[in-house]
Amino acid sequence: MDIDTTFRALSHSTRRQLLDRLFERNGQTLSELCDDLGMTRQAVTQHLSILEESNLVVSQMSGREKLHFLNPVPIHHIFSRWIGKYENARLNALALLKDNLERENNDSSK
Amino acid sequence: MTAQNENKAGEQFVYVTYILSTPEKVWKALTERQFTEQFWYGLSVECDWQQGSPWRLLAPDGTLAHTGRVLEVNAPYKLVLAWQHEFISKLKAEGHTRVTFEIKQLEEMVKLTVVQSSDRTDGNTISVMARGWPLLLASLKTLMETGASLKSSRHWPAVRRSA
Repeated sequence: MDIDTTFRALSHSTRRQLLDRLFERNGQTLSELCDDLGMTRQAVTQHLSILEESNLVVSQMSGREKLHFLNPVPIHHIFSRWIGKYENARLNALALLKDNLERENNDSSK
Repeated sequence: MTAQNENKAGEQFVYVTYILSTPEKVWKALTERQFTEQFWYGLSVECDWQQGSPWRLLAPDGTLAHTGRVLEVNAPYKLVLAWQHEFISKLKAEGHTRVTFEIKQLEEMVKLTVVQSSDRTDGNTISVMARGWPLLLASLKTLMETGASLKSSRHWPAVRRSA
């Protein structure tokens, strides 16, 4: 469950589209996810299994139906590895510095 | 009635994280305040973890963040909680949701599954809380694997970035 696996799973537009669909409405069946996608059921199944292996999608049985859920936790690991390190305070400080420098430039050019 | 039948009508999310740890350690992290204070936005958990007991998550300033009752407990593998959001009045008015933690050993890893569900379809509790869990779970994993939680998950009130 490393970051490479997450990036590999995210590298295909169909898989990102499937995640977008689950973001819009969580807990869908395979048939619902196939609707209007213009792909064979088999192709969608394959993409879903890659998403499940990378832990970006989690499935659960509900009665006789298998429902798919978006799992954003691996994306948070990517976020915390690079962006989270810098923390908001530092990002804010940099944004402030940029603002101030740009203002100085504008002032001095007047 | 099973939980799944109940969920069918309402809303839920399912989050999973894999942690290099043991079920016992992950259980302690979820049920003891010296751990929750580190990764759960500074909140301390209070409960004796007996079936039927009340539980609560308290902010450092004493604000009641979440409360509820223990519905099912099988340490260190399963914990089901009735969950009442307390600190946003609109969500508090929506009443109880249900949170299930499942902990499974998979070779050297632990698979932690968190499901939060509501019988309501018109509420906001599930969608609001769904935004808080990913950072919390990423931080729990980091704490278990490195000994330090993620900084952004240590303080109350939680910084809510738009998701």
